[in-house]
Amino acid sequence: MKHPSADDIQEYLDGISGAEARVLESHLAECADCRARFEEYRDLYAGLGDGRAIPEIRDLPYRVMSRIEAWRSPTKESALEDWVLAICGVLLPTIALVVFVGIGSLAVGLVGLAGGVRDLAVRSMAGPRPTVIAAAAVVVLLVYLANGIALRRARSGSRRS
Amino acid sequence: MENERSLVRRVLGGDRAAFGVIIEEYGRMVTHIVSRMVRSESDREDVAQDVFLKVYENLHGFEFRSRMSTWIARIAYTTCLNFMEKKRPSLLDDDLPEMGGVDSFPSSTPAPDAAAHRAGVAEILEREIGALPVDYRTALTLFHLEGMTYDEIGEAMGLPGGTVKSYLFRARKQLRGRLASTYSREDLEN
Repeated sequence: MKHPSADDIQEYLDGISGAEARVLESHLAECADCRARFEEYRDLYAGLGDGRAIPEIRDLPYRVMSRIEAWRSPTKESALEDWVLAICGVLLPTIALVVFVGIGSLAVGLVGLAGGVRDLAVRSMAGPRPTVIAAAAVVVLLVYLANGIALRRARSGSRRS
Repeated sequence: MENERSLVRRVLGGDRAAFGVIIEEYGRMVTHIVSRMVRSESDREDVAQDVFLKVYENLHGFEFRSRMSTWIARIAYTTCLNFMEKKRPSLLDDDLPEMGGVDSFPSSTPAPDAAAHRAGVAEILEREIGALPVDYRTALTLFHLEGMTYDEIGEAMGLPGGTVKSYLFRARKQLRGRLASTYSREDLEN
């Protein structure tokens, strides 16, 4: 065998050299230079496997648990609760808006009837055209969806702090 | 340690003490990763805590497709990377090794002085590891201290196993070269 490369030695020490391992071992038994290089790597591996010089982080479990105490449990129920809140944040104001538009339209119609302006009353009570209502609903939904997302982000932000 | 599945079930059921068991089990690994990736000692505590808070927050999404250690290592790795990006966006010494080339990578280690002579091998080695690119440091940590395979390390770091192997080989080659050229045999045998 020719002199093993640094990669050959590392593959051997990593335990992935397979059938080449015996060839390398017999070469090391004969070649003092390669043996010295091999021993340097072996010492390096021993050092790399010793983590004692890395300082411990004091009270890590206690500190993490203290921060978690300020949180809720990460259960599926809490995730569901987030979504219910977000959906309510979107739907309830939208429903309120639609009701107000309906009442407003009815009121104008009644005033028109009382004043004898029949055409105006009929047009008012008929309300806006469906396309206008749909467009308004989409805009309102987008606005309140943004509110819902903002709510979720605010909640997750407050849990972190 | 208690079966990880039942431990996770207990945590998701609201048993916070069960999460304490997870911290005890993986605290050392997270400490290793954070300490090797984050240079500032004062920041390490906060980052390590953040890692476990993310583990807690995302535990319901862990589906045991990998070992829990690999999953937590990945969270630790990404948390450290995010921290480093926010903390020091213009610092170049944590760039990926391909960008600068490992052989030309500058070391911040000063010439050996009296203190270095007195330092133990472990401290000398730790100092030299600290001069390596961040991905080399992380790969060495996960391989040698946590006993992970190339593929597991790749999963944690979002890299192919072959790239991890290449990082490890180059990191060790660089370490060996620097130790041999900077320190005498006596220093290393202290």
